[in-house]
Amino acid sequence: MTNNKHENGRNKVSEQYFVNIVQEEKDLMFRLAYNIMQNTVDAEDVVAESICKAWEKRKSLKNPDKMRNWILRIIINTAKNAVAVRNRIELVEDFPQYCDEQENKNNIWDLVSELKEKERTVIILYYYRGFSVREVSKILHIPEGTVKSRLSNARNNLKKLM
Amino acid sequence: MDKSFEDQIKYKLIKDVEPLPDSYTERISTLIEQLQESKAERTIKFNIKYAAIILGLFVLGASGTNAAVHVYQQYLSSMSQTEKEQLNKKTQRLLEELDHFSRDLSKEERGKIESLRKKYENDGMFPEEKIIEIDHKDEVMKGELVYCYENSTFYLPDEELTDEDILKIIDFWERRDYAVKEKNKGERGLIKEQKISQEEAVRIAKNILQKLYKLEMENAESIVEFDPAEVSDEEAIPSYLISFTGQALSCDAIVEIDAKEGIVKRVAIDDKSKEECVSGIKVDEDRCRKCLNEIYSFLSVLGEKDYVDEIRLIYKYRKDGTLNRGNIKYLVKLNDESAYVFLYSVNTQTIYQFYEMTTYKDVLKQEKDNAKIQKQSGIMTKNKVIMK
Repeated sequence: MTNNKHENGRNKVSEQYFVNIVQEEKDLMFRLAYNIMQNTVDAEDVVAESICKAWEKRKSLKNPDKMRNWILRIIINTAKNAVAVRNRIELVEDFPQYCDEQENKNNIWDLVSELKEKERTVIILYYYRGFSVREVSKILHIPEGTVKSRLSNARNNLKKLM
Repeated sequence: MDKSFEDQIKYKLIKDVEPLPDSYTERISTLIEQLQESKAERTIKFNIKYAAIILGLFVLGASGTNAAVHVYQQYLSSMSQTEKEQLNKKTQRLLEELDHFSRDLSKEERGKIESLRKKYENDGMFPEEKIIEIDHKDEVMKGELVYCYENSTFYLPDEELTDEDILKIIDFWERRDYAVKEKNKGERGLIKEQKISQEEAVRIAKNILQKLYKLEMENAESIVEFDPAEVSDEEAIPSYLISFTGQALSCDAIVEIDAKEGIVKRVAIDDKSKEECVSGIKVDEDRCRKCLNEIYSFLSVLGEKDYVDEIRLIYKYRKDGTLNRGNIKYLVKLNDESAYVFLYSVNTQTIYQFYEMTTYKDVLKQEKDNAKIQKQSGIMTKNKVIMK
């Protein structure tokens, strides 16, 4: 009985923790999903699907301290899978506020959108969100050196575009 | 690294960012509400960055109280080197950048944090004792104010925090900020320690690419970045990141050279015509074993061939027997317990990346942990010794 109570309490705390993370990272979640999907509607779907997926599986996460990285990774993986499914299907027309700006090459986000997807992702996580190289490596499950070389490539390519 | 360019990127990303679409914000809010329907308890998160902003305002406001500020600075600078190093090391290992409180802070307690922080900085009001720091949750002492590194949480007594308790929390934040800042200063100082010049690093990088990939490097354009940033938990190891591009090369390449010793820490090439990582390729273990010769020839060039202790073959595959990302990993253990990781692309049939790691055991553990996580998503891992 005590165990059940304890378990119940812990789950509720982790539910709130989960919600807090979603609230804190909803901006980043959208940017990451949009970065891969390149489409607002699909990006929204990806984030919503990822949140539901993560919510259902949250109890399987042994270390709740890793929840933030875990959710962000789910977003990226869900988006990549969605791209694979969407492959060769014509993109849904995007909202005007996102399309109009595509012509404005002074906007750094437009320049970033011309980079390779893996470079875009590290730019968003490292420069936009402010994660450290180590944190990015944990989120993406890639070595720190790979993060650094992707950042380096991204910077070089951005310099050429600017 | 071009710091001003990096700052420019950061600034523009924030400045130019499009607001989130209303449809998205509404959708997420609705989703969160649905999730919250089952909530009963709340944990409070206190944003360190927000605290830092408050601190910044107070420091500005305190410009007229030089003597007190001097006491405050003297107090922080009296921290021993060991204390600073330990505090910084533990902070760097934190999994989150936010601190938590084990319970909600009352309005009064929040107010006191602000007022006592002013007194801490301006009047030199410090706690009589330091907060108790613990590494793991199971060390928490009920009713005692402690900070737990495992979950970045201040465990608070149930009753209202006293001034001394709040000063202990403020003092912990201040000492932590100071320790991290000092470490960063130290890392910047490492630039002076670099013994290998930029030209020498480029020469080493060109040489290794010529030897390993037979690339014609004479006319290759290079961009060099000096990276003083942390490489491991223990220390910052300055290195050069040298990128080679240009039409003369069949692939782009990045080489990382240790700035102290000139050691090749990492090489990554990016084929211009083919993707290194492609899914849907069937696993061929015989092919994987044949690649061992190539690994050995790389190790020979790196001067490590005679020190190989063991080589593991690691790959991720799906239920249909195809490789998850089309690549194979070779984990080489050297007899000094360090390791090299080689990544082989089945699509381009090249070792497209390798890097040095200081501890084989840690790499292996990371691999095993990743395998467990990925298994939940249906990605299986083959991890076996193929040479001993």
